[in-house]
Amino acid sequence: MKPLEERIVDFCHRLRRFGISVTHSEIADALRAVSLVGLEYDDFYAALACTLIKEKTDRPLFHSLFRIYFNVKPAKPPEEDAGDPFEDADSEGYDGRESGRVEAGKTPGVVTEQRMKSRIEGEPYLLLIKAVKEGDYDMLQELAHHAVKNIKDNRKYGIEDARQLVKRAQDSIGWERAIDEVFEGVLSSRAMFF
Amino acid sequence: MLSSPEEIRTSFAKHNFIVDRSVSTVVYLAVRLGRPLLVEGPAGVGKTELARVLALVSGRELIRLQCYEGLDESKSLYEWNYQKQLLRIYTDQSQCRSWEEIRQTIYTEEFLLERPLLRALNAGNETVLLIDEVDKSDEEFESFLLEILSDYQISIPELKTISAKHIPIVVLTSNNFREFGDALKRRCIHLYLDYPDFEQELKIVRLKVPGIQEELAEKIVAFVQEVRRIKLKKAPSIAETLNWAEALLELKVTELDSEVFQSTAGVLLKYRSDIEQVAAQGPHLQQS
Repeated sequence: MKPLEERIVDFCHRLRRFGISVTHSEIADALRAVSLVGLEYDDFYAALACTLIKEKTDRPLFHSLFRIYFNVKPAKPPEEDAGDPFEDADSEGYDGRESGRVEAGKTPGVVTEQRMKSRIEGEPYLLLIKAVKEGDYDMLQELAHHAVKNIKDNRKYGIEDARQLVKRAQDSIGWERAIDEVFEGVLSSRAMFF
Repeated sequence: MLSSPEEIRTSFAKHNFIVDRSVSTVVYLAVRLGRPLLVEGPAGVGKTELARVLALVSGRELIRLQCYEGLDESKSLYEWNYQKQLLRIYTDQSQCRSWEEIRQTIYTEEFLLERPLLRALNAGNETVLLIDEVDKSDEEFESFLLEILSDYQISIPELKTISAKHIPIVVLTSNNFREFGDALKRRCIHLYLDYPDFEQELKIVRLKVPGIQEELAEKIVAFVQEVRRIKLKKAPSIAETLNWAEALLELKVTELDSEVFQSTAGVLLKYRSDIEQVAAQGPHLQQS
């Protein structure tokens, strides 16, 4: 087997470890696809994606893994993953959502306790990450209170619609940043296994 | 005609079907690998159109099978023309033939009603077989489909086994109405067709609504792109963008303000509640 083919097969095996199931015939399709379109970045990416990924929900994870494995600078997952503001309208929703992300990589990212502590002060998004990773529901509740309180404090801006309020509550505890960090963290810690 | 992604892209464009490079690469791969192309994505992004244009540029006949709940082999594959067979038996009666003789005459191709799948396998020419909205059919049909798409042959017990003379290019579309079979998906090359981005949709508007002012076209597309971010019952499709652009052109509108939106919103959005929601939360429009 040529080194490139070996690499692709190896990549497919790693996809499996992340819970993206890939069959032998799909790997065979992927190899043939790459031999047809070559290694230009977009073509190579499209060839692997269309032969290996059949569920839309696997795309963001595939995207990130692809970039890590084939040595492309990590970037944010694609837009479609940015999430729908409505989905996150209640705290139930966001608990589920974030732990889901951690789950995707099986083990949470390795961030040492010490580093974590030193960064927590004044950075609610780090608390959010920590709470999600450790399944600390009290802390999540605390953060939710914090978020709601922040909305009240900001009343001076006048009455806004519910979506904007939720958005502001999320922003106040570093919602987006926490999601990015958890996701990247999971990936980079797993990347060491590559 | 389909010898490279770039060629597919340019020949699609000649038929006013604008796709980006990655889409044409996936289409190319499905054709070259001889795999069914499964096209998923929201309603109105051109999934069916893609199959139609693919048939046009490859000079193949398009055979379409529309799926629905309860679709079965008799409606998708073949059916014996029961009435005609009865007539035949009836006319033969006077001649006192044996059952064996009758059987041999009534189970022939003359009495066979070809449905789309059989037609695609039996066709003398190369075809594009479009299996539209496959997610609306049921599981039983799905496994049957998987069998056909694996062997490209079917057996008609009373007649013979029919193998495809030419393997068709198969395009399946799905709106994700229902999660459908893993096994079928694994056989396919997967294409996720999303709404076009700003640049691409603008290109489509310019192409299909000639005569529209550049500035207005930009405003329309920017507005629609924003509207799609809002969670609606039915997000505007490309066709609805085009209809709206045509309507505004017809009305000689030059400025997109809230009054124009209110009076033409029905062209773009199909639900009262969607219109109200966009008016309330949508992109900001100037008061007229």
